[in-house]
Amino acid sequence: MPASFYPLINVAGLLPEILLVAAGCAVLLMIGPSRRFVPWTALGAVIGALALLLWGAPHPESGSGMRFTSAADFVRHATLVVGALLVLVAFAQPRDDERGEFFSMVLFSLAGLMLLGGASDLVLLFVALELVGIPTYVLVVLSRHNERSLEAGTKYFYLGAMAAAVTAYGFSFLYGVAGSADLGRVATAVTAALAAPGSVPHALALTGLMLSLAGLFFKIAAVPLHLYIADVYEGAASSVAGLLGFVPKLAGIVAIVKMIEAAGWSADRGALFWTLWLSAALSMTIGNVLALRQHSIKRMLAYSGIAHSGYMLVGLIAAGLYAREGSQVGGLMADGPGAVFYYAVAYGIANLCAFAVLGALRIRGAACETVRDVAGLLRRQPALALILVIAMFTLMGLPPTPGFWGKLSLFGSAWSAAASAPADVQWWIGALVILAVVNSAIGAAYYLRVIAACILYESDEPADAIPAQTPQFGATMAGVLLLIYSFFPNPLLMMSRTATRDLRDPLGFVVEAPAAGQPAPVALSPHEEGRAGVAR
Amino acid sequence: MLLAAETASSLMSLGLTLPLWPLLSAALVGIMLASGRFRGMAHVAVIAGALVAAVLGAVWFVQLAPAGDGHGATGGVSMDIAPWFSLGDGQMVGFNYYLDGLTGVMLLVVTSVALMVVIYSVGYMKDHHGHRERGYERFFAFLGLFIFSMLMLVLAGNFVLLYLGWELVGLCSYLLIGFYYRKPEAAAAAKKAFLVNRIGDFGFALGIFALYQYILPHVQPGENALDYAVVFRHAAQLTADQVNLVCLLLFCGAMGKSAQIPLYVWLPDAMEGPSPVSALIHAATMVTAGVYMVARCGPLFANAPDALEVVTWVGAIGAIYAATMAMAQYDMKRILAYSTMSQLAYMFVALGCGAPDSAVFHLYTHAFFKALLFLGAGSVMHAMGNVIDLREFSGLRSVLPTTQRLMLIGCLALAGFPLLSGFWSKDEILHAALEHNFPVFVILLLTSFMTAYYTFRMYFLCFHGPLRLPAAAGAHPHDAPPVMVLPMTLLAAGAVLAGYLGVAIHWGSPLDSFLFVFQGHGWFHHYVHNGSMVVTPVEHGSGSAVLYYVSAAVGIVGIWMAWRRYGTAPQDEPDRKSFGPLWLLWHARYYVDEIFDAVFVQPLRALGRLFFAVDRAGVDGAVNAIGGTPRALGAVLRVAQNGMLQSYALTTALGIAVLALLWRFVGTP
Repeated sequence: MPASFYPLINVAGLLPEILLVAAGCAVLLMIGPSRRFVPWTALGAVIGALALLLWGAPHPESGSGMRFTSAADFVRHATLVVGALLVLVAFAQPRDDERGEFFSMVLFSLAGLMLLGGASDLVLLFVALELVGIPTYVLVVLSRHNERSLEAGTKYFYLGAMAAAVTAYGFSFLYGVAGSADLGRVATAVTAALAAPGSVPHALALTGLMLSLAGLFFKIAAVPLHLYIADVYEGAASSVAGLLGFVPKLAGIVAIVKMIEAAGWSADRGALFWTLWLSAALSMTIGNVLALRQHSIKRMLAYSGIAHSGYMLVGLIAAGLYAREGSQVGGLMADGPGAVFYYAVAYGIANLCAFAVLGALRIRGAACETVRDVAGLLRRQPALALILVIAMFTLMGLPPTPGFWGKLSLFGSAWSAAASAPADVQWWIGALVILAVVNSAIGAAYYLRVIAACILYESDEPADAIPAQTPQFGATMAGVLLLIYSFFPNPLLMMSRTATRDLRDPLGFVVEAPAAGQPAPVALSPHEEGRAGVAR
Repeated sequence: MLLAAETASSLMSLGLTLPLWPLLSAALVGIMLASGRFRGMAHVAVIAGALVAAVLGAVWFVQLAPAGDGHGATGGVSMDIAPWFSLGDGQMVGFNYYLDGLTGVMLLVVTSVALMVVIYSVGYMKDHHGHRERGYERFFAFLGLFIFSMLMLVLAGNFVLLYLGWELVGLCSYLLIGFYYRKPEAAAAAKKAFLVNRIGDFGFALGIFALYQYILPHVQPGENALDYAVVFRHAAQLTADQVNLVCLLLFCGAMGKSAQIPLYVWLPDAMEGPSPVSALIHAATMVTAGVYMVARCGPLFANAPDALEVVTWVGAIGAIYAATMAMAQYDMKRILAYSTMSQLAYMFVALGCGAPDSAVFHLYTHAFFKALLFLGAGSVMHAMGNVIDLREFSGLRSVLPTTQRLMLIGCLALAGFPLLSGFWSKDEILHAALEHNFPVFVILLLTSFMTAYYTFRMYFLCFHGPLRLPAAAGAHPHDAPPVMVLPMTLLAAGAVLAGYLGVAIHWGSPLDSFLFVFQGHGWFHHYVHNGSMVVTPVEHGSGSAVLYYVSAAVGIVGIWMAWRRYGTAPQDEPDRKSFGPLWLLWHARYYVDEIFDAVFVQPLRALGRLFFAVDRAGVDGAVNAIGGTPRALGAVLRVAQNGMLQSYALTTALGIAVLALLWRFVGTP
């Protein structure tokens, strides 16, 4: 491959990521008394990166396996905003002598997620996924000093490694089909291969897609790769469990969207449809039914995380419609990927918020874990109780919380997709939406248990907040953010809709683009440029 | 002139804050609770909030009256307050109100009954010694929150806002049913209510999706597809299939909220909540939300004859079905709950027969007398030391004379005794049924008889016969204190007089004017016609009054029969001998709870156990079955103490294999 094919991209555009990685290295080196400043450094780095992203750094140009589409912009922004919350929530979490390692892992993971948004090359995609994943394995172990966290971290690591291997294996098939690692070329080749059933490339492409998706389902803990989640969440400290609900999940979702894009937006037909359908249906049902049985809030949230992944997969099924020309319904109710992006962020914040509150509470010195532990919280800790209730409302999908707006757009777009999908899957999509709505009805039951315990019950065992104020501050910020998104839902919704702007033209990759040598006409549409670079 | 306009507009803008006052009062109580100060004032805050809401509600009720004699109605007004939520493609969900006659009636009912119930609660939520119950402040905070939610539901100008109110009232209902959470029955009832309602809500949500999708192609630029006004404007452009589907899905929501077959199972259990809650939420306001919603969506339902047929029959069957169960219960509040279900079913029949104005009229009269009955039952319960079983006491008229008189008024109104409010509205529904569907009319007439009968069975068992008191009541049960009597008295006045808003005075022969004076369709009907409601017009002076005499006779005969059989509060249950096994079936409520448990709850539990087993033991079993899981691999992976890792890995691998092979079996794209 000629060197000119991968031009060095404008490094200035990647300054936010570079800042995160640099700060991650820096906090590793902070020893002695300076350790006290580790969390502040991490927070400063994340906020600095956000400031750079908003005002400082130029929009990066595409190339070198990166394509900075509007989706990438969304992911980068969302990562840093929620990342700041994550750092705040984890502020006082690990022991003093491991703070450096802890926060460097958080920063690396965030940097990985940002890079993942822009990755347009199988290799870079894989590297970014691992950059997200490997620090999280370490975080689970670092977060607490007991056997359970060690066990959880080890399980998470082994199974994660296995899933990564499967993803890599799937990617290799896709590479084989396309003869190139570039996602644009992969999309062209895979779409062509899928259009020719019975051929060898067809089988290869499908195998590749399925294996890649299988590995990615691990990241979002969708059935059948959900088994680890309860043990891991339970073993990890609350702040890390909160992180696990956002960083790997958004990473997995973004990567799955990229896979669906590579399959030519054919999520509403064929094998891809059935894979997503089955996984969505099973994730929702199994997640909810298992969550119903839990008394530990952490395990309940873990299992409900499976269900939420299922809801997001419902939105991804609508991705096929969204890309189709001539659909009658427009806007939010027809934008599956936009809804999924929105939901991933809303869910991430709500989940983090819930875990942050749990992390800020102690029952007679022990961590607060069961529903009984939060009984009567309203009387003891009114602010934290209200935040927990808001988080539960959001997870439950009660209007007007972001959870409701998200579910409205997820299920609405899938419902619209049913109307214009191929006739043989129409009823199946409709059935899936019905299943999703029934599931979110059932799901309300276990969130309601927490809410009732919080504001209805009285307890003789006081739930005391730990002295450190910072996790409370993180929880408060997350709660406030949820409230803002409840009553002013438009900015975030518009952002997530804009995020899918560049994904919009259906088989964009196959469209003949200008030859590689020609410069892209306008700098404002970076993805065009990236596409121009690859799809000769 | 200018001044008048300014006054009117400032009044209007004050009126727009209507729902916020109860919310504000709830928030105040929350602050009191959190800060620990002024907690004794909790009821004052909520009464003040409810009072402001009631005043504003009354102002709105007057403001929304049609000009002149009411003919030539103008239709509803959509009032945009703020944009809220963008759906993209120029579609907004605004924060807007929809104001018409229906809104006015609902505002009046909700705010006035709410005020009465809040005042009553001050007395009810104290024990015999005047000590407040546990959670006194919380109770009032939830009540305030409920009033806010219900007002949002009623005022909403689009379907999303309606759904918001819909879910919020469900939540408040959950919190209030489960108020005595230490009782396992109360906690279970709260959960049941919420879940059954969510099942209905899911149909409702799908109905909104479907509506959005169908209506969107007809929407003009600048219109928001989910606004009532827009939907109603374009309702006629939908095809029959579309509109039937939408209406049936919406009706699912109504079945849940308004406790109709088969989603009624939560309502009797909901009586575990405090009596004021039963009066406000589960009799007068929240449970009527389904009726309100179907009436509100009149322009849609008017084009959906199939859906209307379903509504009629669900209503008719529900009416008599609930009445049979009410005949054989001993729990006073449950009897009233079944009668609520039965009366709501009457309203649905009216909606199905194309007489939404009669449905709303019945909703309005029913709110007063049913709230009165529940408050009266609450007063009995309060005096009897929380015993409400009719087998435990009798002859209470000597110890609770005030309650007895007020309850008598409520019972007469419910039984359809002539000249009381329930009589007028129920007769109208019978009339509508007679015109549209004769079998349904017969069912309703029979139900009227049964209603009168079981209502007075309850009344006689409670207040007549020899005085017997349960142990929990103590030696000297006391009648309701003034703070409870006052709201009950006002509601009793409503139960007597409210109906006269809906009858026309027309001097004529006794054959076309009841008792020479009264005809149906009075001012109230003109009032509710002023809006989106689709009503078959009624001509004055043409109606026959014969039906009035029939239904009056049916009610009186029912009461007489009850007196004959139960006038001395016999303890050997005469009906049980007369009806035999049928009575036992009614008494057991058709075993529906048991059937639901066996058909839905147990399978779900079993599914949970199955998933759990697959999650845990099943995987281990698979590993063991494979047997020769290499020891070496085990040694490598032994970091996990409980050995679960291998099984996870194995299951994961199996999952991946399934995924990888899936495309083989589902055909090619």
